[in-house]
Amino acid sequence: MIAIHDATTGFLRKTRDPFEFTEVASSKVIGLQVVAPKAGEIQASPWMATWSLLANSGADYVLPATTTTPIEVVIHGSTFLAKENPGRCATFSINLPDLVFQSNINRHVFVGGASLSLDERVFIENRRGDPEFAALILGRLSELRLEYREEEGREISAASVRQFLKLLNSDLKLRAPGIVLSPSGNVIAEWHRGPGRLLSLHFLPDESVRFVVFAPNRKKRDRTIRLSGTSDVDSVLDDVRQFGVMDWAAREG
Amino acid sequence: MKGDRVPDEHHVARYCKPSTIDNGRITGASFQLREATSEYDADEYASVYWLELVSSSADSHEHKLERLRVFLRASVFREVGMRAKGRFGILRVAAIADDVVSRSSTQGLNVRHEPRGSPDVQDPHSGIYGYRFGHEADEICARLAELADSYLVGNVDRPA
Repeated sequence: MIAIHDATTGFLRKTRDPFEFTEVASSKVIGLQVVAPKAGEIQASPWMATWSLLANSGADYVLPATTTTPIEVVIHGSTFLAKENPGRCATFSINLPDLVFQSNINRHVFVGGASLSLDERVFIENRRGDPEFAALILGRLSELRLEYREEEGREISAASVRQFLKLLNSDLKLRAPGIVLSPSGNVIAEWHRGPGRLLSLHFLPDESVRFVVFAPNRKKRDRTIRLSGTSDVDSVLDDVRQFGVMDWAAREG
Repeated sequence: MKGDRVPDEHHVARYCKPSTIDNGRITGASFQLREATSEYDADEYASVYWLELVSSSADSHEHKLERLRVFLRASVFREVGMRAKGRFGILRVAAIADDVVSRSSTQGLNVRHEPRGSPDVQDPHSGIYGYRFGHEADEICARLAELADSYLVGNVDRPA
């Protein structure tokens, strides 16, 4: 169970699910309070599974939201990073054990993870203008880590994750892809829009990228082009762009 | 018999792990084969279940899957650990053979019966043959996923 604590007003909200935050007035001082759950209470949700590590801490952390430089506070051996963007949207990156959650309803987005790698930290930093995107991607990766451990008893490929994040960092116009795993634990990112429109990128640990493109034939719209190949992170988007994949893989504008 | 071709008009179901499913959508990853590791050999084919062997060809997909679940719950074979939130991808054999092009294989894709253990026990286990690894295999798998009808696995737990 998590509560957002507004230290200015003493406002305290509790929610059973961090995805169900309700609207709160913006405040000058915002804190995060971990309310001790009963043992096992939140184990049902894989996203929340390791909150139990912090159970009974009862800690209350208050951060000045007006800071313009990242501040770092060590909490129970984990790192708590906070940074505020200009304007009304405060963005916090929180690194707590195996936790990734987001809430943009109340204009605060939290992104974190137990074992946030350097690549993931760089990714969050590069996406600081779009923390929802970062939260979506890292949240899905966190979910897949748990799935894969359960299915295979192994870890997903860190090298593959690194290549995937590198690609997302290389083009900020990309939409958030669907993310799945190969049997070997490699990341496969897919941008998909109905039958016949697919860009699938399979990130191999050796830094190569296998791509699959299904796209409408531009001269015969009732036909579909299907092709595949091998490239690398630095080149693959240029290799596939000619087939019109950015029509559905990139954001408009 | 082992190695027999599954008839074109019949259907096979592939178990798709949750880590290969994107928002309920079966993806190419669901059909990809395992590469060899220090613990196990590489897959020779994609394991599937021949649905008409456990149900009538006139049955709906839902009914065929219910019969498959009955088989899996009572199976004497070592089945892959299936999770309720996984999905079954159902494919018509003719679609696999005709609609999925393998550029490197002159044989194309085919589906063969791969019963395990004694021939006295009817086993629907079968295999999709004709692709292995690499980008072309990824393309074939993506096409198989596009053609497959998707159903939740549901409860296939064996009685305690």
